[in-house]
Amino acid sequence: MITEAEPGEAWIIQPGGQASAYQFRGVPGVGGGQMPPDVVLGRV
Amino acid sequence: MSTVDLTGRVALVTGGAGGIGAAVVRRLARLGASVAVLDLDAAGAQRIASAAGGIAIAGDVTDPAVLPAVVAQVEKEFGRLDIVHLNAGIGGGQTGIDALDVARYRKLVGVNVDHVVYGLCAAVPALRRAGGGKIVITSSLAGLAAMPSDPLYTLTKHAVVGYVRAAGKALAADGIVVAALCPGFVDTLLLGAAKEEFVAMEFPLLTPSDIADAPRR
Ligand SMILES: NC(=O)c1ccc[n+]([C@@H]2O[C@H](COP(=O)([O-])OP(=O)(O)OC[C@H]3O[C@@H](n4cnc5c(N)ncnc54)[C@H](O)[C@@H]3O)[C@@H](O)[C@H]2O)c1
Repeated sequence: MITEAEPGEAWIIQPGGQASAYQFRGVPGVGGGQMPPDVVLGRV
Repeated sequence: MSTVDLTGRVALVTGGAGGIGAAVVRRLARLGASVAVLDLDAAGAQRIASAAGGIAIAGDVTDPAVLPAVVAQVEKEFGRLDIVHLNAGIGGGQTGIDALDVARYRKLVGVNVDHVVYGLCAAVPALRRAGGGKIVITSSLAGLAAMPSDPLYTLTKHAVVGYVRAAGKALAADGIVVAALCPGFVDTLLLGAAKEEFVAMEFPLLTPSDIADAPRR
């Protein structure tokens, strides 16, 4: 894990198996298209 | 199984005196890293660190002054810091929905959430100085799925996953990988009295080394 993880991954580990990165679904963009911008909230 | 060589690398593991953290310390040492073990349990940290040829530091990860001081101590002792595993954590100990033990709740947030925020804040400048590195945080399956019997634990572990996803993207360009571990139930002291329920229903538990040594699928 320490050596194999990629940025932002969440690895699931359950009995009897190997670890795998959870696949997040993501959210739809506006009208299914444009994604919201990445901003700092609450900055004054 | 990975054949990675961490010789010359330096790692810090919080909550490394027992359970998952101790297995991570042993794994890092086996791969050649020098390891610092931070835990509230000074004697346990010393035992695990000594066996791994590392150093033990006693401290409470909920104290905002502790992780900066520990990172500075590790850099002073070993000259660098490359890998940080923020692993210390506790269970909710209550449902907290319609009756709340506030002190217990604040402690839960302190260990499971604040510690991660303080840990990244303290470690990232050191990892930049080392030219990059890895930060792994022990979340839980409760960071991805609901655990109705422990909603507050679920809250803290979801918070960690959200933080890892955002901080992971923010730090990727610096060569710093931030990732979360989300194990199912592991046979450690954290289970407390619930361990008997797992035994009674013959539910398979992970071992700490299953977490530390898990290969990627
Ligand atoms: N055991 C499980 O089923 C399980 C499942 C998924 C995730 N986790 C997570 O794994 C991590 C490790 O837990 P574990 O199961 O090995 O439990 P554990 O109780 O065996 O180990 C936790 C360690 O953290 C230390 N610690 C607790 N509070 C601290 C503080 N304020 N400052 C410094 N050290 C502190 C303890 O002394 C102990 O050594 C936790 O974050 C936990 O939430 C556990």
